[in-house]
Amino acid sequence: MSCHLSLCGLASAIVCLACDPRVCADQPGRATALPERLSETGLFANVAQQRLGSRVFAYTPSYALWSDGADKRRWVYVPAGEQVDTRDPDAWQFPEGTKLWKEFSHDGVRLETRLLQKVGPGSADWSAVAYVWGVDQKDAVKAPYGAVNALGTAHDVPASGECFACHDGRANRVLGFSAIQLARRTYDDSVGLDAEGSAIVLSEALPTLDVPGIQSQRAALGYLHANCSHCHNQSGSAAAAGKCLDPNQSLSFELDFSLRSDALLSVGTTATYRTAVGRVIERGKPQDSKLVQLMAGRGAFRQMPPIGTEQVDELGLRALRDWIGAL
Amino acid sequence: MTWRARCTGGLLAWAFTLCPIGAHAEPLAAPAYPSRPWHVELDSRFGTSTSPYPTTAFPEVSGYALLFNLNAEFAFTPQLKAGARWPLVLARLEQPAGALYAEAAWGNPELNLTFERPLGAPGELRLRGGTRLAVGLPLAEDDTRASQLEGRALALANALEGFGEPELYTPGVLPITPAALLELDYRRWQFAASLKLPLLPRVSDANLPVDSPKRPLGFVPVLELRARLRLFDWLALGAAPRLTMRAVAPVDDGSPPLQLLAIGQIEFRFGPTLQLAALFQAPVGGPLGGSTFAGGLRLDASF
Repeated sequence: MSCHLSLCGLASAIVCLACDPRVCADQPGRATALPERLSETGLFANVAQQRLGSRVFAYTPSYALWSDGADKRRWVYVPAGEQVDTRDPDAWQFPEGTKLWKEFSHDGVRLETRLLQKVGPGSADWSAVAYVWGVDQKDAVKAPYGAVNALGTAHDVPASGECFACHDGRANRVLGFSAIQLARRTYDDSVGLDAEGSAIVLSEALPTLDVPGIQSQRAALGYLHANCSHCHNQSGSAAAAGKCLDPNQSLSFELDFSLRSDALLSVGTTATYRTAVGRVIERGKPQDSKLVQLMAGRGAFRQMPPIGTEQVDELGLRALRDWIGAL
Repeated sequence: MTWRARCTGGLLAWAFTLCPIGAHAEPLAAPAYPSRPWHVELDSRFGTSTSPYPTTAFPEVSGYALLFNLNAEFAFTPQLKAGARWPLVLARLEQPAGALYAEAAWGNPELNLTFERPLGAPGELRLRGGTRLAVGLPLAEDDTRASQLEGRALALANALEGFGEPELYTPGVLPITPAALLELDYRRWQFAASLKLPLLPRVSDANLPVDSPKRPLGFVPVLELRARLRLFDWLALGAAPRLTMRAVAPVDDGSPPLQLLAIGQIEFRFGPTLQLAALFQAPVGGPLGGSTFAGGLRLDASF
């Protein structure tokens, strides 16, 4: 009896080691070709003055990824003579040499700036690495293994291999710089990329794409798109990329047309509504909705997203509770 | 790191299912089968830890690991034995954003020679003493083809043992470990004390982080006291505090030098040649207290 129990316990431990979905493979070499310092990446012509480099443009997605309350700034660069092919609104194609940066700061102190750079012609040919800012804030140094508690804050900097735990969920590996995130809205004058940047970087003008529903519905659908859909989508890219996290892909929180042309016509036709309501979203019962429970939890196997956050997004949670409560 | 609490809960549930009380790195008392010269032991640990890690960007290493230690010993005479230990670490190391990284590492294989003899038997007491000299081979290293930060799997393994097996899990050293053992048997009770004095001269920096403060010679005495009660022929309970003093840590992580490890175990004997022990061990206080827990199984066979 005891022997039987013991052997089962040992077997469970070994299985646990073998199947933990949070295990990401290292991606040796992906980051080695990137510059050692942020000042060498072309983001700034002058770091001290924060003057942007040539053909570098700031952009802001409509719906942001929650990063434990960090303040974020983002920039894009495409090489001269090249543009992002935006003919397919769900799958923009990026030329080799494209760079996207995202800066994280707390209370005005820059902590890290991440670089995602297209290093080859294939859709998977991207390198990613984070640069950790020094205490003097004069420059940031490449940190391929990431860093814990950067500059004495609670902010953790991901290892380069971890970047693709999320970015491999998109066929083009880019999150936040897409038609649905930057588009014009009929209900909102703002756009995510200014006219000059749009003209230089994009092959076509930004489209007008409305997220369906009233404001509270749009807030919830957009939040889920930005925070969940890079893993939970049905476009097939995540599985094809062999990403380390193993999301339930029968769920999709993606705002796109890739599977159905009517996906953005109404709330009821969105992927979120079709795949999640009745399963992880209980109409009128946010407290019984698994989605809310996981968003409100923290700790291994009891939080979503499973990586990249240690604090609950209370504002985002409230938006989802409001929406689900009104369903 | 937030995932640790969950993993710890699962581990404790698993450990307590197996072992009402827990564990230890060497047998609390090696089965005495003088007619059987070979003794083979497969020792395993499964645990989680957050341990100091001496690099600038990573002040700690966190994750969980499964340790295997294959021990074999041959008795030339009832007093003289020669043996070997060969450790293996299968680790899941937490990366900064919360993803895990799988890494395997060999520890330092060890060859040892043990001399034991009775010291007296007044009344119902039986007293036995012994000395051991072990020499390790400096082969401990992570899977360097894929290693993200050198030595992290070994650091995790060392932490799971409460820093008490530095000769097995310190990379880049040639461990020389003299040890002494004293055992006292009284009816169903057995008490023992052991002191080992691992000297860890550095022979290589190859498997350590570049910016870690290495030392040319490490010295980490380990004192262990053990008590064991045989309830039935087939069942025994044991407990053992182990105190490790990193007098000269082979790599200075800046943490306090003393670490106490509490060990408990339950042993089941299946006939004269086979014994299974379920173990639980947890550091108390020190740099690892509250952040490290491990359970394990140890299978002993003699033939």
